[in-house]
Amino acid sequence: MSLRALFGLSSLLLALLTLATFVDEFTASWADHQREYNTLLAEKATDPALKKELVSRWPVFEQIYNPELGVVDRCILCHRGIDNPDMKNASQPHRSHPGNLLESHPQQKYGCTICHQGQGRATDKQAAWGRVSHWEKPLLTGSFVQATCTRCHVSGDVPQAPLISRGRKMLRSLGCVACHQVEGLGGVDPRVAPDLSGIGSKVTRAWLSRWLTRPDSVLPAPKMPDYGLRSGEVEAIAAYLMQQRSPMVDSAPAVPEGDYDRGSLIYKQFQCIDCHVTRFSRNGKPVGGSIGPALVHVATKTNRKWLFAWLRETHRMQPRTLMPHFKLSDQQAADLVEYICEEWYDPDIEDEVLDEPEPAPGEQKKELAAVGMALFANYGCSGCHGIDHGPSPTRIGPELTYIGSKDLHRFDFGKVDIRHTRPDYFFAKVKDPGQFGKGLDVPSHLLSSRELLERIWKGLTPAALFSERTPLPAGKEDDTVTWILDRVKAAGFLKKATMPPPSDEASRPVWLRKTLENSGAFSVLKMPDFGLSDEDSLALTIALMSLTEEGPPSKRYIASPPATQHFDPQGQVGQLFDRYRCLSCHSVWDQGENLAADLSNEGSRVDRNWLYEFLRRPYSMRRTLTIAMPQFHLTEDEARTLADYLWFVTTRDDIPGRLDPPLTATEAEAGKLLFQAKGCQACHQTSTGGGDVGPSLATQVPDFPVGTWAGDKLREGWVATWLKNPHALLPEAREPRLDLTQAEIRALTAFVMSLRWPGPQQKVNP
Amino acid sequence: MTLDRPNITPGINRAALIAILAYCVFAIFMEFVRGMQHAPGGAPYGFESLEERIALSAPLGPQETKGKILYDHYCAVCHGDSGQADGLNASRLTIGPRDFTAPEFRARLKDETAVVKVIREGGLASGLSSSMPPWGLTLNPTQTTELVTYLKKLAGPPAGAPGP
Repeated sequence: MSLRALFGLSSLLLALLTLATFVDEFTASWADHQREYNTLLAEKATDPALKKELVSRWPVFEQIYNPELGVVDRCILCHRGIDNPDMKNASQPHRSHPGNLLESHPQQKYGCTICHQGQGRATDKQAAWGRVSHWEKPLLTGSFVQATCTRCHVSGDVPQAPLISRGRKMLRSLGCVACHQVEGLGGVDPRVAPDLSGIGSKVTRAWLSRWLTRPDSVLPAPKMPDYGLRSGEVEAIAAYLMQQRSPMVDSAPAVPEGDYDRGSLIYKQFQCIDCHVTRFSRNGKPVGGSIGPALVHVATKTNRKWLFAWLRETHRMQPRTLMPHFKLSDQQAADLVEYICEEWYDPDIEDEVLDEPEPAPGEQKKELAAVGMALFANYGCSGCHGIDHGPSPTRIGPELTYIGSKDLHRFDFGKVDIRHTRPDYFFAKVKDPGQFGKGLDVPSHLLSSRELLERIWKGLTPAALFSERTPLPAGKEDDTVTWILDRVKAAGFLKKATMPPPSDEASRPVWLRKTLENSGAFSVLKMPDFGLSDEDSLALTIALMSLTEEGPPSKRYIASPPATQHFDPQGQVGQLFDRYRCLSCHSVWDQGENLAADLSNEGSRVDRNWLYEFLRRPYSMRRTLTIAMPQFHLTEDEARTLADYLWFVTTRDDIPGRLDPPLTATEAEAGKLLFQAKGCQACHQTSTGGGDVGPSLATQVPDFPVGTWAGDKLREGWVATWLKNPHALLPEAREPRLDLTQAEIRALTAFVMSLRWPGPQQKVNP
Repeated sequence: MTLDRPNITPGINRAALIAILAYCVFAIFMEFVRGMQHAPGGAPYGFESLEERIALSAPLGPQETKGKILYDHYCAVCHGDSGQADGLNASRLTIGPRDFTAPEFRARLKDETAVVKVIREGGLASGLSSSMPPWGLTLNPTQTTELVTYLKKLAGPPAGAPGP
């Protein structure tokens, strides 16, 4: 072939290829989508000129470019209607973005891949979604998108992303971080688990064994997960824990005789039910709060001496406890102990206590306790539970700081039949960790019988209970099998009746292996089963997905939670707040819990005199509420100190005490009519009746020295501010925000403030 | 003066041609490979499947779940946990709350905008009881839609419709 012909041919080919490139570009799917979208727009357009223009409009090539975020996103080539509200119900890719997220995260600034991942530069579907080989960050859809929120929302709750917020909290509240380090999340929540120093003086052995075996058979929804401990392990750990004595309890004199009826009264005054489950309702639901442990069977769990000591010296025994230190005399404490022991015991466990076998003789017990201590460390118990002179807390699990970036091929999927993706792995692992347990990883036929037996012996878990303590004795194979079998049975892995097959002795080690594998004796998995629901597992999965190496894309984009003042009372007030553990239920600014009212604006809200009297004689705020503040029997001095401090510190400058100009009687009259017209009486009681949803505005609490009507208790400025927008003061308020004019607000405020107790002359405190 | 023809030796000519040809072949080959990669059933990424599985096991859809949270917080105290007008506060109202499980409410649900109006503007604006307050400044339109979706769930399928 001549050179000339070859030249001609190659030129033709090149020209064809170049042409093909153009054809490819013009028939690209994104161009088709744009034409479709333009047609959709044209259908909705009313102006005929625009209609015509739209139909003949050429596809355009566009991308979102933000070098600061490293974003080059061409997603908008196909998703043209992403910010067009008319496209709410259009088919994909034209549909608009669900929700209102683009208002706070405009796509022109942030792009798409910063949240959704995928391959921003790609121009066709599969590649853009990143569902191609070697693209590590495939598109996130649905609730999985929340996994990327944390790149900018580095701490605190993420607005509009409930699952990641929940999952991130769960990492601390479930105690995950006790075993797995996660940088930036901090340590385990101290409320997760109690300190176990002195536990032996507290609990009964029978209760402890039952608790360790199946926590959920003792308490509904226990915080401690199920470790699937065998009976031998339970025995050893229990032996170790029962050795932890508290000299304070052991050396205490006998508890004085108590009186049930007086104890019952104290129980009611203390409002134990606010924090503790004290009974089950008729349909089996626990009744009571969840801050403290359930008390339904507490008399079976512990003893009078410990209860007495606890009630008298609460904070000395557990300095980190959330429980207030109540003022109790010896007699009162004894009365309450009497009530508790009469009321809350479990007859099932009582029987077990009676049937409890004789404790093992001294020497053997000591050895068992040593094994128990090793197990305690081995299972990572010390991560959550402190023990004086016990194993130091070490994190037994792998670090999870960057688990969301870990290479997929480095995950051990084992024999678990799930898709090989990170979220599938996380979900399966947190939902049912047990399925990731292992057998021995060597086929039996590759080993000699003796080698196999060695492997079996070494592979048994927990290591502390078996292999480390004694080397496998030399001897006949048959005897060794029986020897191992005896120990495994003693540890509770196998039934006592399990016997090796009589015939064919050569296969006995293989039989042993199979039997032990089936009983889970080789399981090296220490992760317990938390019994999580699907939704909780999903929240945790998303939280784990969010733990990636990628930090915030740029410092400017870090979203910080709204700044709040730091609440840290000092001196006498600080001591009172600590003694009565006010912040176990109430919140003030950035501190505390939300069981009871938020006190951040309390000074602006209530009358100082009322606050003082309330602290002395707390009452239930609503007729429908069962919970109320406990009666702490504060001294006059204590109550005044607390009331004055709260009143001054939590008074807001932007909420006036009184309105200017002063409210008039005419306004109050108008307000009364308005109160009916706006339907306020549906939720609030006044002197003419009303609903029970909000607090009553006209009820006098019996024996309360000052008025408890709205006008006695509340402050004008606060009522007006509240009416303007309740949710600005209390985001979770049930009261709807009404469309009120300034005059209407004044009228309603005047009416509410005119509701005053017409009772006897009021006592005024200085 | 004459123009000199560029002096290209046949060897270089051939090399250039081979390069062009090689490029063409390479381009066609790459296109082919790309097509292979995009074949349906390519890389298995299971995000949806996992979410779908969870969604299937949940008794409520995502919209209904969000609606239920709102309903339990704001509405159940009068309308009752299951919508039967038996909430804690129902007996204290002069005109009782709407029973969402009654057939007449199911009929009302056909006109969704009317129901939305009652929620957003209150009972009085639609000639109903003033005990139903307006929620228009408390709930945004998306939340209202979610709430209505849950109300439909509470009301059950319309009469005559095939059961589940």
